Amino acid sequence: MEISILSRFVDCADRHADRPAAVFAGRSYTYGDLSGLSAAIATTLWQHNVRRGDRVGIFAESSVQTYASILAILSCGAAYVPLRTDNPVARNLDILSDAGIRLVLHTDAEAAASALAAGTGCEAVQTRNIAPIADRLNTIRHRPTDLCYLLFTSGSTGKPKGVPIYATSLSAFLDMILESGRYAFTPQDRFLQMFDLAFDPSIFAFLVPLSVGASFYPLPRKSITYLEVADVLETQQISVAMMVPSVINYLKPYFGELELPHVRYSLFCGEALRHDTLSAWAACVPHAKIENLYGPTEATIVCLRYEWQRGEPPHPQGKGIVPIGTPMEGVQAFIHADDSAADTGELCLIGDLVTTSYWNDPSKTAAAFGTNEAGQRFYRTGDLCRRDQAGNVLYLGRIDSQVKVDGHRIELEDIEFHARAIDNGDREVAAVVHSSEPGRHVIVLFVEGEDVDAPRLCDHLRTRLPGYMIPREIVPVGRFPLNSNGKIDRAALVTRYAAGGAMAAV
Amino acid sequence: MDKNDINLTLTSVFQRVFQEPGLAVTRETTAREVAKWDSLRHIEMITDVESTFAVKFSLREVMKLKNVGDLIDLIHAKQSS
Repeated sequence: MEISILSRFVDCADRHADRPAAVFAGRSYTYGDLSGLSAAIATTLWQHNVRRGDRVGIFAESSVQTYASILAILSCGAAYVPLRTDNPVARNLDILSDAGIRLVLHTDAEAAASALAAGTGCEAVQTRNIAPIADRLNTIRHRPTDLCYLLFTSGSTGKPKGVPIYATSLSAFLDMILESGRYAFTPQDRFLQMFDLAFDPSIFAFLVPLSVGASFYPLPRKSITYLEVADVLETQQISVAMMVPSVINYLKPYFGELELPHVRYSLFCGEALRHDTLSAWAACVPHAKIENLYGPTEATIVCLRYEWQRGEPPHPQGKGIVPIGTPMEGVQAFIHADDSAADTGELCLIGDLVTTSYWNDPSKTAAAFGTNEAGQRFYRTGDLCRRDQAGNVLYLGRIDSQVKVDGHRIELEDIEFHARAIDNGDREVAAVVHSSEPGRHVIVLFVEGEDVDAPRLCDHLRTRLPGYMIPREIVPVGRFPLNSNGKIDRAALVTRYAAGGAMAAV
Repeated sequence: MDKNDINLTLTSVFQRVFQEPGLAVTRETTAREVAKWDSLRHIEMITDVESTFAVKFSLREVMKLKNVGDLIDLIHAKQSS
């Protein structure tokens, strides 16, 4: 069986060459522009011997060349591997090595790309000056096992963890969004694209509009994200807005000034959605269908949905959080608990949307993936959930130390691993998340000892971790509190920090 | 309060919010140049500025700010009106 990830885009480019496809800070690019640029970059890729199965790195810049490069990479049957521009060189080198990348594309990230190329044998190609050609994008037909993208998320052992998504899953995702009849997207729709390309909801935000002849609007990424989102929503008359809930948490003081009657779909994903904030937000988008979507990267963007009704009360068992709903086509969900009589347990996912392993990591794969009696692979999400009587899944928290901060998925052990490296690993450390207000989360790093050189430690972390993983505060602790199991009592640390206690005396 | 005084007071606000006693800001300083200047710090900084200078900003006013100089001018205009 062969499938094509890009056939809808190619059809749209043929039929609507003059329609806007992407609008960057007021500059519009048509389907013809994007198709011609993609075809030109694809030619460059062929000249660099990029073939089916190769992985190509791409710096996640907000430029038309970046999106054209992704289309070009997919058209060759290769997979794209986004590299955050704010990642330290060491982190991008880890990704480069693990993914086996020998070619990196960038628009204007010359310094970062050169740093990667130096000493690795990897080639960096700047796409800024590649001129569009008149040819249409010639895309291969994908096999189900073709790798389409490889996203690296925070890993618990100090190195990013690769999540491979294959054509069978990406195709199932596009079919679920576009063929189920659930969403009536049209060529007139304008999609917000607020996500870094290393975060998979970005694929919804650009590939779905390009598959229906609509347009997408990336953020300029020159300022504060929630303010750029508000500006683009309003000035570009966005009609489909997928956002992380943090955005509306930050915009809440200004809801009275926001009137967005053109929003038809207001979709949320990436972190817990608060009922009270959503109820207030609903007045800003009076004509929108509002949904809370759920999906780990391992399950291809989104796989459960909850359609929120205006005026509905908080869910009686939801603890103020909107349910994540029921599975969509392409996935089944079950809740696993050691005690079969328990109604609360770990959410597990099965189906075409779910990948089958981590990249080059048998031990993490064995820990997170399993096979059921029917021989189906399933993924243990690590999300603690329960199902209500109507069949909706409720998100209750994590069973491990993974957290979400402004939508970013962070393994606290990743931070601790790099923090421990300083002072030869002699100091115990503990990273926790503190919520200064509902919906506002920050990372605090506690370090053993009263002589901690916090600025030096912070500088060290900046050479290993992206900006969103740098702790907001580094707090020296004389002696860590221990729980009844003899482990660091993280809850006690958070409580004392919140109370403003003298941590060094703990 | 003239713009120099606003600048001095604003510097102390930034040092408090960003927890950096030695932080120096100029009219040209932008969020991109300060590593800690993320969404949460921004909203905390705006809240602190509103409280310190007894002013209130609209969303559109906040959206238009491009650098610290714009913020100084906005505070000055608010206090003068």
